[in-house]
Amino acid sequence: MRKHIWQKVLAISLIVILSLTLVGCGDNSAKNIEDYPTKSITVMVGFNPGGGVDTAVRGIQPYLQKYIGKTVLVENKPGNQGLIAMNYVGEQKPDGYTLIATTNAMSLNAMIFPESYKLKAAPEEALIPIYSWVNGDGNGIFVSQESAIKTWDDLVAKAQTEEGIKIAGSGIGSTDHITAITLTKIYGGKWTFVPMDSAGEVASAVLGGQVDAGSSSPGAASLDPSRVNMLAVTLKERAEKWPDAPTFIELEKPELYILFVIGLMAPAGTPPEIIAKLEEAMDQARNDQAFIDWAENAKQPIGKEGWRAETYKSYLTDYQSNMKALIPDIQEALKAAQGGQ
Amino acid sequence: MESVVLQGLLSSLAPTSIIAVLVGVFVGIAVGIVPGIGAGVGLSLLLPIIFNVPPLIGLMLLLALWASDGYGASISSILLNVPGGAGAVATCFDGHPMAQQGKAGEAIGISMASSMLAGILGTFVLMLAAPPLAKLAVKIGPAEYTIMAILGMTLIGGMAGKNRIKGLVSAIIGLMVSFIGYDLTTGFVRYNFGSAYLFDGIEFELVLIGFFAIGELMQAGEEGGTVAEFGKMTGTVMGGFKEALKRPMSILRSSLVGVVMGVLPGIGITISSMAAYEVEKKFSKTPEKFGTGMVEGIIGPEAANNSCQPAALIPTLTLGIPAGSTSAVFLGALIMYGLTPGMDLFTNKAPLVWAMMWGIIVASIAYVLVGLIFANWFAKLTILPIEYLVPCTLVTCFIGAFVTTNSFYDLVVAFLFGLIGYVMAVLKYPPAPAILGVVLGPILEKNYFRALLLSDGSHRIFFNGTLAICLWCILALILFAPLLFKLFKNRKEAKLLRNL
Repeated sequence: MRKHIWQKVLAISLIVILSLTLVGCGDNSAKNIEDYPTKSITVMVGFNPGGGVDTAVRGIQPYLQKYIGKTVLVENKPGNQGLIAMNYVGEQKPDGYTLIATTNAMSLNAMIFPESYKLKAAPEEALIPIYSWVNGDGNGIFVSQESAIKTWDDLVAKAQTEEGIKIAGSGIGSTDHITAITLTKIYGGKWTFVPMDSAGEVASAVLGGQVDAGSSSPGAASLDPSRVNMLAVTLKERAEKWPDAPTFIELEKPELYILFVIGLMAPAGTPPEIIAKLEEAMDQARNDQAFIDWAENAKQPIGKEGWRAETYKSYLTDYQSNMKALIPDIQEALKAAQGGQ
Repeated sequence: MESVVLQGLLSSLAPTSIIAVLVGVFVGIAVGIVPGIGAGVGLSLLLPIIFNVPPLIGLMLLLALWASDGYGASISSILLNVPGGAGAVATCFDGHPMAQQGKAGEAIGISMASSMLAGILGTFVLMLAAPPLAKLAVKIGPAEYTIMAILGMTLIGGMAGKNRIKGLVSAIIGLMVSFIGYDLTTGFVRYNFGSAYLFDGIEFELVLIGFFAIGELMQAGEEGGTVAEFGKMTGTVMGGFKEALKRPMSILRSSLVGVVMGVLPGIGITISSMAAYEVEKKFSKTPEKFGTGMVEGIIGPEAANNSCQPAALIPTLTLGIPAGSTSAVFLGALIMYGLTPGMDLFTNKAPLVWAMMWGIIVASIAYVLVGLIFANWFAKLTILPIEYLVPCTLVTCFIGAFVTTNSFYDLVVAFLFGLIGYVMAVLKYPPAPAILGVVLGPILEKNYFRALLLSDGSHRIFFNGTLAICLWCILALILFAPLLFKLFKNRKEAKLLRNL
C-alpha cells in the first residue's frame, strides 16, 4: 500500500512540474552586438521590493524601456546587503542582458565582508559602471524635536561627556555605521553605534527617546521635519527638505562628504558598444520630463543631473579609495563589538 | 471633517475602486492559500503593475490583497494542516481537527466571520486613534521588546500540546535555526558553513514550508485516505458563521490582541495570532478541549491576524515607520505615488487616506462574499484522496519557496527542512514551537544586545520604567498563577473534606 502511494505521488509531482516547465520555456538566442538588444533585459536589484533602490529602479524602468526599445524586467534578489545579487550578476554572460542596480556601498561591503564576496575579480573591477540616475542623497545626523540637543555643536559637546552619544543607524557596515565610525575618528569622544534593521526603526528609536541621535538618508520618508531636527548632512549642498542643516563641508570636515549613489552596472567584459547604447538610453530616460516629474512627486533624491559612465566611474574610484582607508577602522570596530560580548 | 470621511467612503465605493478591491481579493486569497507566499510577496509582485495606475485604485488593490491574504492562509491551515502564511500557524490547531471531523465548511465559516469582523474593528481603531497610538508605540524600547520576547517564550507551553518536552526540543530547534547568519549587533557571521547564501540567515517562510508542508504532508501522504475521516462532510459555512457570531467577546478580545501587537514594529502576525490563541484558551471554561476543534481556537488566531493588518498601518501612515516587512512594501508604494507619510498625509491627502481606510472595510466584506462562493468547493478538497492532494500542494509550496527570493538555494533549504520536518513528524515532535522559536529568536537577541548598548552594559535597563515592571508582573502571573491556583484549590478541597 505504502509503495503504491509513493509511486502515485511521484508521478503526479512530475506531471505538474513538467507542465509548468513548458510554460516557462521561451526564446533565448542572442544575436550580434549591432542588433542589441534583441530580447528583454533584466535588471537585478539586490534589495527588497519597496526599498529605496527598488523604487528608484521601478521609477526609471518604463523610460529605459521606451528608449532601449525592448522590455526591461526588474528582478529582486535580496540578501547580504546586495552582495547576493552582485555575486550572481558578476557570474552572468557579459552580453548586456543581465544588469544590476547598485549602490556605492555595495563594493565597500564586499571589502568589509570578504567571506560573502564570491567573485574572482576584485569588487571594484567586477562590474562596469553604465549610468547613475540617483545621486542627490547622502547621510544626515538627526535628533528628535523634543531633545535637549538643538545644534550640531550641542551633539559634539555631549559626545565628549562621560555619557557620550548613542547613535542609531541601520545595519553593521552600512553607510550609517561608517558615518558613526568617521565621526568618532574626527571629533573624538564617545559615539556608541546602535544597529537597527531599517531606517524606519532608526527614526522610531530617535522619536521614542531611546537613543540621542540617528543616522539616515535626509530624504528618508520616516523623517518628518515637524518631529525631527536634522543637525548636519553629508551632502555637497544643503538639502531642500532641511534648509537649516549645515553640510559637513560647511563645518570644515570634508571627510564626511558621503553620497548615496544608485546606478546601473554590467558584468565586466560587456562590449563597450553595448555599454554605450545603454548609457545613451539611460541618459534619455533620466532626462525624460515624465521621469523628472515622477521623481519630484515621489521625492526621489535624483540630484541635479544624471552621471554618465565616466563621471560615475570617477566618483566610484574616489569613493572607494577614500573608504579603503577606513576599512581597518571598521573592521576593528566590528572586532571590538564581537569581543565585547 | 465629516465631509472628508463621507467623501472617502464614496470614493471607496466607486465602480473602479470596487473592481480594484475584487482583483485584490482574488489575488490575496490565492497568495494566502499558497504556503510560503503571503501578502508581502503578493504586494511586491503587484508593485510594478500598479505603477501606472492612479493612487487610489493602486492602493485599494494592495490593501484588498493584504486584507484577504489572512483569510486565504487559514484555508490551507484548516484543510491541509499546512499554514498558508505566518499568521495561520495557530489556526491549524483547531481548524484542522474540525476538518478531520468533516466540518471543514464550518471551520472556514468561523474563520471568515472572525476575520471580517476583526478587520473592520482594526480599521476603526486606525480611523479613530492612529496618531496617539503611533506615539505610544515608538516609546517602547529594546528593553521592553526583550521582556516581551521572553513573554512570547511562554507561548511554547501552549503550542507544545500533550508532550511538553518534545515541544521544548522543537522550540530549541527553531531558536537554533534563527541564530544562523549574520549577527545584527556585531556583524559576526555564525553557522553559515562558509556559504554566502546563509549570511542573512534562513527565511522564515522556508522553515514553515519545510516543517509543515513537506514534513507533515509527507506523513499524511503515507497514511493515505482522505482528510475528513469518513470521507463525509457535515457542517456548513453558514453554520460556522453563526457559531462565530455567537461569541462576540472572543472576537473582541482576539482583535484587541491583534491591534496591540500589530502597532508594535517588529512583532507581527505570527506572534499575535499565537498569543490570541493562548488568550482564548485561558478564558475558556474547557481549555483541555483546545486542539480538538474548538470554535474559539479558530476565532483567536483568525481575528488577531486580521486586526493586525490595519493596526500595522498606524505607524506606517503616521510616522513612515513600517511595522513589518509587508508594511515596508506598502510604504514603498506610498512613496512611489509621492505620498509622504506623516501628519501631512492626514491633512493634505485626507480624502485619499479615508478612502484607503474605508477600502479595507470594503475589502473585508468583499472577501467574505467571494469566500462564500468558493468555501464549499474548498471544503470538498477534504474528501479528495490525499495522494492527489499531497503532490499538488508540495509543488505549489516549492514554487512559493522559489518566488520569495528567486533563489535556487531556497529550494534546497526548503527541502532540507522538509527532511528534518518529516523526521520530527514521524517522532511526533510538534512543528509549531519551532516556528515560534524562529520568529522570537531574532527579536530577543537583537533587542537584548541593543538594550545593553544603550545602558553601557548594565542589566538595570530591563527594570527601568513602568512598562518594563508591568511586563515582568504579567510574566510572573503567567508562570505562577496556575501553580498558586492549584495550591488554593487543593486547600479548599482539603477544607471541604475536613468539614465533611
